[in-house]
Amino acid sequence: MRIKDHKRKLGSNICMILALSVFLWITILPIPLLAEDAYEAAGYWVEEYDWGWPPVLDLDYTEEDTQEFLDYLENSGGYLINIKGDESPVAQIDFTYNSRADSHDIFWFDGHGGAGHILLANLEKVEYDEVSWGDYDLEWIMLHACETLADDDTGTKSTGKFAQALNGARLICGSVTSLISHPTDSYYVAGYMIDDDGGGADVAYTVLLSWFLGLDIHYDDGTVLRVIGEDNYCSLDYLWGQGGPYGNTQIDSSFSYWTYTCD
Amino acid sequence: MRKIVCYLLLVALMGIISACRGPGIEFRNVPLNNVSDDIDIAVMTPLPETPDYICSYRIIKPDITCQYVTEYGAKFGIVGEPSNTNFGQMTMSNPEKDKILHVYSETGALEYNCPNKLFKVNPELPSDNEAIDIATNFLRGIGFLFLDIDVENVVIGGSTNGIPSHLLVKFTRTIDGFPITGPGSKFGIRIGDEGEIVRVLVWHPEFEQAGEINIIEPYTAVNSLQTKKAYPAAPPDCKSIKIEDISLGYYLSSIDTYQQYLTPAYIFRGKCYNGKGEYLQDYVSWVDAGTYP
Repeated sequence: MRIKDHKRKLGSNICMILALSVFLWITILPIPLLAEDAYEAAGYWVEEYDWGWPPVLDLDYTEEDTQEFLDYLENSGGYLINIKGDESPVAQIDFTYNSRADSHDIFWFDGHGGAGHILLANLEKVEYDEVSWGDYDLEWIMLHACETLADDDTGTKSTGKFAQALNGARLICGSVTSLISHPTDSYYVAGYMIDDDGGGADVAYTVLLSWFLGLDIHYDDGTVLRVIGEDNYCSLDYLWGQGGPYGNTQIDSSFSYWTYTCD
Repeated sequence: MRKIVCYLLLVALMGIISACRGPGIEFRNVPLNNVSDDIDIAVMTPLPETPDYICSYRIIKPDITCQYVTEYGAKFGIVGEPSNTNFGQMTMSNPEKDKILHVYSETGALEYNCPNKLFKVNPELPSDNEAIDIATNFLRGIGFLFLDIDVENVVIGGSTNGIPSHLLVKFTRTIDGFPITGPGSKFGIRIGDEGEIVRVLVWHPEFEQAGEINIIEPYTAVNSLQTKKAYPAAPPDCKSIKIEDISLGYYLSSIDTYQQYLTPAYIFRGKCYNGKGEYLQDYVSWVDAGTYP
């Protein structure tokens, strides 16, 4: 009899615990869901490069520029900034397969680069064939570095370079010629992407145009910029919160590219 | 007594001379962005003949008010109330939001965009000469066809998958025969489908003469370039630069920041090559040409 009572009590306790668990599950669950649903941005910069031969110049304003970008997105765009800073050592693995870069909606890199690669502080290159962007969350990546997209003008991924990295990401923004380290390039790119007065005279520009027009402010007519995308419709993408991506893309062997000569 | 009078006269004379010579340290110099040590820089052109000094000009800071912006908005066919953006511009747009005017609060530079028309697929573009006519007539219409600007060239301003989307008509401003140069030298009209103006970026700062400024010899400027003291640096892949043209001009740094004086600068134009001697890109660099007390 006493054993039966104990069993009944144990049963009711288990039921209570289960019910409580379900209650907690239901009430607490929306919080992590909301956090995951928030628009996320991140950025890396390299200011000081290791010594090597040939020597690589340090860059004066990469930190400031990256911070400006993330601050603008956080303060005016409501973005969640998960990685904000020089979380050294920035390694290849942060950009390559299943990378931390890929776990954000938009990502900003500020440092040296060349056709089909970016250069990390330890002079290690992140090459186009080592990265796959869009596996997770990434829609747009901005490479504020020299010549990154110089060779991406064929429309066929196999003959491009960073175009091969498009694996769900919608746009890669870069340049054909060199860029300078400037403290507020990113500030204007972010500023164009976001409508500051919500319904007033200000207007959000597409991600593509924001890259071109934002950089045009500080560059002369020798500077040529380029953006590559999975297809033509990606040129109509707005930032999440400003209109968002235009339609779904089909990952295939071709890509689109847009080239802009600064004023 | 005579010594005191002489001394006072001397002090007064020095004051007058320094006033005539301009404001000295208030000049904004061309920034330095040292070029990497492993780049060979060869000058392939004779050095230009330059004067010992040129006029110095102080830029008049414009007073950017709502009325100023509204007046220019009307010239671009935009009516309404301007608003301040978070990034130093006053903005106006039409109700359809497809014509937008930005005015830079620090400098008064004007930027007009038709965002939906900059990268139209397969547009019908005018010829270069037609584009020049369209741009010139447009500038005349908004009161921006100044006597000191000239057409520099017409280039493809933007393309989609290699097909031109719009043309860029570039204008150059000259002062006393010297061109205005640098990233702040903006005077371009972009023309898209069926000859429509799709983007305008113009800055025509007003200035006043502020004395004269001594100019360094061209070989001194070349020496600065070759000892890697120039702006901006060449790209990392660049291993040699061949300079094909050297000229003297006035440097403007940016349309978003007020610059007190036009800065005399030597302009070096040439080409960058990689380690295999392959052409990488055109190269332009500036070296401060003024000597400052």
